Amino acid sequence: MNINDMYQICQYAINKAQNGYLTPSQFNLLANQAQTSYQDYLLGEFQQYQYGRPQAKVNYSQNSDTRQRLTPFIYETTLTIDGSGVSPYPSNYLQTDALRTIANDRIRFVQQDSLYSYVNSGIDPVATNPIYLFTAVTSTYPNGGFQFYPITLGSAILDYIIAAPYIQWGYCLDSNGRPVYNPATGPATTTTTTTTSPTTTTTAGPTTTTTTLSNCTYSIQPLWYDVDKLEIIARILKLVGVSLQNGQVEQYANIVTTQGQ
Amino acid sequence: MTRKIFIERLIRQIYNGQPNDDSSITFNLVNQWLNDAIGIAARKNYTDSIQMDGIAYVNNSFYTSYSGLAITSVNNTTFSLTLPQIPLALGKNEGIATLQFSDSKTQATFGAVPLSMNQVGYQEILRPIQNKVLYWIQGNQIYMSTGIPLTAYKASIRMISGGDSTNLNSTLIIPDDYVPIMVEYIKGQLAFERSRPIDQSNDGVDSVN
Repeated sequence: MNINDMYQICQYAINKAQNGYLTPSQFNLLANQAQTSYQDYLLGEFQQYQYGRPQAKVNYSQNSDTRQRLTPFIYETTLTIDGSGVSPYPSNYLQTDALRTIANDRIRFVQQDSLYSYVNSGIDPVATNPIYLFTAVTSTYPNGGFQFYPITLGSAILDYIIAAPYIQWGYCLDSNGRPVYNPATGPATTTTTTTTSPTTTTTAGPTTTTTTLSNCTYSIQPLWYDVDKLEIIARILKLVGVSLQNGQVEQYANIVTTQGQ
Repeated sequence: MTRKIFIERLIRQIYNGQPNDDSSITFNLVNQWLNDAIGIAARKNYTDSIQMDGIAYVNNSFYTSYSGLAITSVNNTTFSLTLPQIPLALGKNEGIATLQFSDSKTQATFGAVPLSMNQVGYQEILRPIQNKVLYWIQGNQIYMSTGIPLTAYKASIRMISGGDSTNLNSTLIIPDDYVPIMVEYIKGQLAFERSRPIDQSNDGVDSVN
């Protein structure tokens, strides 16, 4: 399922419910909002925490099934730690999964209010049992980062989750000013990019019609698995005001995939 | 079995599997409890021997040899050495079984005669016995009384210790039939720790509610 399938499913559901028309810009806005909402759900929503049990009903590290959903967004990188023990977040960083040393020893997370007891531990001295905190935002690190102890650690391996990249239904305007899906993918960017005008040829029966398209934007496909795309569609429709059962969406998605719109 | 394997076995029981990187029960922490547990196991063996044989002793399997211990002079006839750990308080001085001396030419030659602490005062009013060494344990020190210039020698001892507590890859010197006693003791301590509520709020109040 690609971004066009998602758009068409949304259009179909909205038309069927006689709720008007979803423009491409509205779809792009809502689709990104919906995928952020779904990613938050998979990471574990704070609102679901119960007293004395800070665990959401669903969170990505509960088991391999929930974790699998987020695997397109789990990245690994080696952090370079400066002389004061600080390393900034990598780009597009959303949440830490795990931190370990180059020798695969764990680096424990510590909150600021517990720092003193970890730093002064006689049983697990930080020199051989490194720890990290989320450091405060400074002028040097305007987006924040990690504070490591011992400050001489030098480097660390970070597994982290990135924010789901921007998705976009790209289109070109036909001669009547109507948007036509443009499957071309442009550079990974969150801004709409205008391309040169391509020409498409449509064969209908014995005659051939050539349509000149203009004002094109690239498509940016979602990285989610298909089952998750359906969840995102449901969230888009919820934002629009259409309530659909998952099964209905899935059924229509199959029709679109096998037979076309 | 090494200390590391023993500790990993215990941690996996406590965490019902492999612990993750948030786990607060660390290898070093369990290693600290392990020293206590070794003492309990040795004491159990000591009392078992009284009950079964009517004689108090600790089985040979509990003993570890340490050699090359440096000797320093306290005065002309008294010397001392530092032990790897405070000996277990079994009997009057069962914690240390043997004390011997050697130099580069001779290996583990003459032995020494142990004294209980209330014999030390009496010994101090005597002149050193020729070619004999008397010793007594005091904390993590062994004091030796002799006319022999012992600083020229290195000491070797056999003591109940469970092995090298500073090296997790060292062999845990405890017979298998007393390992379950250690397991039960440590498990009790760690399960207690795990069962305690955690103060999750940073609110300036030492309360878990």
